[in-house]
Parts: sequence; C-alpha cells; structure tokens
Amino acid sequence: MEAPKVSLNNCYIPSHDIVSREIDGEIVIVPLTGGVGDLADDLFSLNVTGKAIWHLLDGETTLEQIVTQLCDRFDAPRDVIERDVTGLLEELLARRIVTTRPA
Amino acid sequence: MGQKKEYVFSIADIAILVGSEMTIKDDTFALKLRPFRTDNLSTDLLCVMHHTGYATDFILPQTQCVYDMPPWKIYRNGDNITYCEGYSPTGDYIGLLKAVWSNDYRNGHIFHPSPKKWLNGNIEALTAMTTDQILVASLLSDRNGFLLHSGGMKLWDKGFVFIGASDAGKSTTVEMLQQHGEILCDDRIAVRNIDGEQRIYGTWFHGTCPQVSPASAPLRALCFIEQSDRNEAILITDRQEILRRLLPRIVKPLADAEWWAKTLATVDELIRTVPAYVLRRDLSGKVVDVLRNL
Repeated sequence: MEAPKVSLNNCYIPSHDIVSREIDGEIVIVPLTGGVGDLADDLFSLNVTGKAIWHLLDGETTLEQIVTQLCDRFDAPRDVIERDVTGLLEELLARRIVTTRPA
Repeated sequence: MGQKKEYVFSIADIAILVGSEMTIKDDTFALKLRPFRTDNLSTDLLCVMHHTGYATDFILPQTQCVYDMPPWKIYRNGDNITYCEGYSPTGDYIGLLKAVWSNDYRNGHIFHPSPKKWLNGNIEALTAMTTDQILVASLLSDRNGFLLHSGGMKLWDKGFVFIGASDAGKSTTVEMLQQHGEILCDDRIAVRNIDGEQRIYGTWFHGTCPQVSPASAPLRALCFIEQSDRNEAILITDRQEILRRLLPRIVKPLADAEWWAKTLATVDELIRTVPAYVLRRDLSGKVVDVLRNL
C-alpha cells in the first residue's frame, strides 16, 4: 500500500477513533475497534521523541512549525528531525491515528 | 411451598439479583454457578429479570448500532442498551429483541420467546446468553476493574493470575496447582482495585475446570506463562512490555472511548503496583515452589 502523503504545510490532529494515555513515560494509543470479545488490538506507543511530536499535533500548528519547535528542543540537524517527523506522521496516518487538517 | 422465582449471585463484590416469571429450579443454572449464590444483598446490586414471550413493551431501536456480528446486533439508544438476535439461520435480518439493559447495566430484562432453554436447565449464564462476560466486563469498568483472559488461583491467601493465549496452558497450570489452593477460574478472572488494593475474583465464565470459586485475594503477581522444561519466574521490569502482554488479554465489551479511558487508567495503576513475571513451568508441578517465593 502506498504511504499516505504527508505535507509540511498541513496540520494534523489525533483521530476521534483512538484513545491515548501516557503510561510509564510513553504515549499508549489504542484504536477503537468497537468489537466484543478479547481479540488482540493493534496497540501503538510513542517514545520520548514521538511523544514530543504527539503533544504538538493540535490541528492548528503546521508540521513545518512543529519541526521548527523541535529543532529548538533537540540537538539534531533540521533535515534529520524533519525526516523523523514526516516518517512518524506517515505511520500515524496509515494507522488512522491522526487526521489531516489543511492549513 | 411456593416456587422459587429469584436468586442472588455474587461476583467481584457485585450482587446480581436474578428474577424470573418462570420457576428457577436448582438446576436451571449450571452447577458451576452454584458457589456464586449468596444471601448477601450488597449495596452494589443489579437486577436481571427473565420474561417469557416477546418484548412487546419495548420498541425495537432505530438508533446507533454499536455492534453487528451474527447473531447479534446491539444498539445504544439514550437510556438503554438493547440486544437483538438479528439474524435467522439463513442470514436474513429478523431483529428479534432479546434483552434490554439500562445504560449502567444495573437493570436488565431478558426475553424468552420459547421457554425450552429455561426448562432444559443447566444454563451457563445468568443472562441465559452465550456468556455473562460482556455484562460483567461492562460492570467492572465502572468499578476500577476489568475482566482478564487468564487463569487465577488463591494460594496461601495470595492471588496469582496466569495469563496466556488460548493454548498457553492456563487450565493445565491451575489444575497442577489445585491441591495447594483454590481455583478462581481457569479462563476469566475479575480484577478490581478496592481502596488501593488490587484484588482478583473468581468467575464462572468459559474454561474447562468444573469447579471454580467465588473467592477473592489480593493480587500478588501477574504471571505470563510459558511452557518449558524448567520452572522459573523472570521479573519483567519494562512496563511497556507488561502493557503489550496484558492489554490483548483484557476482555473488551462494547469498547468505546469511555471504556478504554477508564480501563487504561485501571491498568496503569495495576502495573505500577503489582509485579509481573514470565513464568516458565514444566509439567512436574514444581512451579508451586517458584510461586511460593514470589
């Protein structure tokens, strides 16, 4: 399947179809499957870097602005941070954990 | 002497008053449920009423369908949750209303168009449905608890749960340990946080052990079982790993955002306070010595 297109000009926001909670320093994300029973869910968690990005996904801040903010906080080249951010967003979009809001 | 029309059962400190328009005989419900009968009407009481005939007093809901998997369709409509046995054997939707619950599951009405199942007896669920686990899992989420797909035992007044997939050997493990304590269940265990103490409780759901206990005990360890040629317990220090192992084993009733938020908070507290182990065990039964030292 083709990776979802991520644009630095877009804003992103957590989907209504997930529940998240910080547990032991990581953000744990559970998709709402709406099913009955005890089948395994596709649990997803975000480490420290992912958590920093997650907290900035407010639907109003563009990805470009998020990269800029992270450059101020983390000691890494901008192109590396940009790659990490777009990579994570591709995965979050593919899993329908976030939705796009064009700026 | 009049015919018995109601019994009270207790599970995880919740009392369930079961009433019926039909006589409830000693063998109406399966033998496995009998130890859960009680005379103690706790303050946390819910009522399940069985009716004969069709649900003529209730209107089939036209609102949000929250579950649709044959044979069931489940709707939430304002104050009620309604269960419809939606499909005929040929797959046609027939929408026969079988149960109506209040949103908090405190009051339920079950309808029996035919009394045959009731009269045959040996029913394995108080709701007379396939299982009571969805009801109890829903109740527990409002009470700092959840239902865990696991075996559980009370050993030396301490609670142990044995967690694993369906073929991991949960039943074998509890049967091996039976002589040392009480089997709470070999397939579903209720977990509750009562005033800061994590406790486990027996249930009658699923499993193959014919005798299970309604007892409870403070939870001493979460044991993720592995079949092995030796007996040892390896402490899991990474809480994310515990979470990844635990969450898929939690019974999820109509798992909406509210249920998940409450359950994640309960699980978060649990894994902070109760140690988790990979429990490797052979078939000798010597794993009891490992557990004694936890």
